[in-house]
Amino acid sequence: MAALRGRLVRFDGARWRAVVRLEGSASMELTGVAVSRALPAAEMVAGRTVLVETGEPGDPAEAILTAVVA
Amino acid sequence: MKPISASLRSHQRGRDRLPHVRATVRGERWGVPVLPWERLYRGEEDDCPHALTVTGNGAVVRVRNDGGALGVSRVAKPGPASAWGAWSVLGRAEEGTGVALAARRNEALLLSVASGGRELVLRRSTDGGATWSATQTLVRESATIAWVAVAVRASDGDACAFYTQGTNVLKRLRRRGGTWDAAGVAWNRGGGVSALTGIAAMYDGSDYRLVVTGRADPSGAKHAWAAFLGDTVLPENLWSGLAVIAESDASSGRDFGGPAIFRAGGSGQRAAFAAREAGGRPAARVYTSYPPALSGGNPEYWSEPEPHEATSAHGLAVATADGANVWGATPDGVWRARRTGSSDVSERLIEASWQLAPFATRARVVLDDSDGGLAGVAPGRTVEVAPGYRSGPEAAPEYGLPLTALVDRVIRESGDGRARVVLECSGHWERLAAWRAPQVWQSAAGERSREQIFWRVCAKAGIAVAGQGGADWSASRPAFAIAPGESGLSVARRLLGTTRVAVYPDGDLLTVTVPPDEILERYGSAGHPTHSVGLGQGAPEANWVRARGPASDADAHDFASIYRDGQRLRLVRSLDAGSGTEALDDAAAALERERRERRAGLLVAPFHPGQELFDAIAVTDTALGLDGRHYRVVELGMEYSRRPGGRARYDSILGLGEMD
Repeated sequence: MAALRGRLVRFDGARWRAVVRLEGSASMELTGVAVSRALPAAEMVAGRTVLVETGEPGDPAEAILTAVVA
Repeated sequence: MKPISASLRSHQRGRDRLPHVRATVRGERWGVPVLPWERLYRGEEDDCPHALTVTGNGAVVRVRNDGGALGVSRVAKPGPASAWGAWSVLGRAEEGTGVALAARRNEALLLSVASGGRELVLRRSTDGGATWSATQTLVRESATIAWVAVAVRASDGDACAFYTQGTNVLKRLRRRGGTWDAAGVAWNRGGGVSALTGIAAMYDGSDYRLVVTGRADPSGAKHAWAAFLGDTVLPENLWSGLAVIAESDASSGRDFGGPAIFRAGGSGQRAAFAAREAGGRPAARVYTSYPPALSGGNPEYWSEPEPHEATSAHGLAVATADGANVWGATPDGVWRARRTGSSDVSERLIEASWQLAPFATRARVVLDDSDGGLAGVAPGRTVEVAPGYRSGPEAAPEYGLPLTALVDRVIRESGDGRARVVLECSGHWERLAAWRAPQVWQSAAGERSREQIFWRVCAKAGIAVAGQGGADWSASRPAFAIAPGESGLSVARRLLGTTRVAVYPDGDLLTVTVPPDEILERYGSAGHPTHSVGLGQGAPEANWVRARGPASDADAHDFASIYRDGQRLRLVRSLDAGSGTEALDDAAAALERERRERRAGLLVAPFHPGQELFDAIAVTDTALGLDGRHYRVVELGMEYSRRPGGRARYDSILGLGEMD
């Protein structure tokens, strides 16, 4: 399991999905990232630092945004 | 099994074998020439649009649009001491627009946009760029022209100019029999483009090859694309689709411009372009990329763009006349790459060995260097070892499976009064392990197959792929993402994990196959002779695989091992199993892979030139009670030694994997 840091680009409150620009990937975003339902929508502000968990197989296709840290 | 001649097959089983090993060192990486750029000039010129060509008399001709002043530089005998900083003003051009050069023999064509921005004008030289004609207006357009390119057909001097207008119009203008078309004809790919920021063209001997930079529509993503315009082999005036060389998303600060396209000798095309980063330091960096060797048509996959020293926002202009020297330039810099050819070092060969495993290749070559003739051998080159026997007519050598590897380390040593060069080499898997994703990449469920993603990742490492797998390879289209920093080897293992395909090195390529169970060779008791056979029994790393799918989990077991060794569970992710049956299939495939990659024995035999990794073989050894027992070759080694004073050796070493 890996935790990747990134910056929130967009949050889709209807689908509860996010677009995140991961550190080390300035030119490409990770889209369709599932967002923890524990996070209040009000905290999902573009530009904030977030943590994305890739799950046990280390597959970012199944990544989950678990925290807004700054 | 690699097909080998009947004479070679018969000879290798005989008692009086005549080993012969051919070894060559090439200035290539997986069939693509390595370009060792060296900087010849560093100036203080301002950055601006520019172009470069090499004429038939060897002169390097450069042109630039320096704030509307059209400057030209010609270096008749290019070298480190040349006057690269000397420019003369040829006339005026629309400020900020592109310029283009192309040459055939001593005719050079110079395209620019005339002041006002609506006219595409030509200047022509017939003496290798020493003097230029007055301007000739080729077309006058109603909309402004931004970027231009030109390429000449070497066979007869026909040519084609390309120019961009507005957001998405790219036009071609052909010269046939010395006469230019009266009007440009727009391409039919504008619907997928919302901005054009640069264009480059070359003639590849058959068709016109282009690199275009701009934005995609409707995504707004920025790209460097490859495309072609058909001429002779491909239908005339057919526009290909746009193949992505580099990409950045719509909201990133990175865009692309200043493209160039060239061939390094007779090999495939290469692209160069500038990646411009808002707020970046430097603000622009040139990158180069190429499709893997043997890529035909409009290659869909390109290597990971590799940074170049040049920092022009208008890219690196590149040209080559003879293939041996490749020239690159920006307004403030000149580079040269001198290609190194191939050298046969067979007569120097003292020892050679290799070991192939499912995800690893290692090779070692020891060469005699008593005469100091190997001073130029350096890491980064390719070594090819082709073992065989003198089994042909009049003892002519015949070869089987060659090994191609990259030189990681060159060790120079002496002993017994002789100098030797040791080449430590690695293969495709190690190259994939060295490739790290520089950015996120993802593919939605149903968008691309595992096969397509594997081809793409291998191409990123510069490796071409051949062969086919089954439906679990070509029809499985899971959602897939690659994280920044993830290695190509990690990606490959994730893609292969729940499939039945095997992948093995095959010259410059990686070849995909579903290993057949058909027995392809027999060892012992009148089959291919053996030196020794050893069998081992051990606990596997996993004897129980659970595939966890989106719908359900499924288990596959090796019960004999579970009873004997206790349970050893491994969890795998079944990315796109839509049913329990599919998850079960994934689990079974993962368990089979586990077994296929585990060595249960070792067989040493006189070298067999046709034996390949994953072949099914039958082994007979009376002392061990083996009577045609089936095994799969899960490791494959070769040992060759002719070290003076040492024991001569020429063997195949086969790691045996269980089949039944």
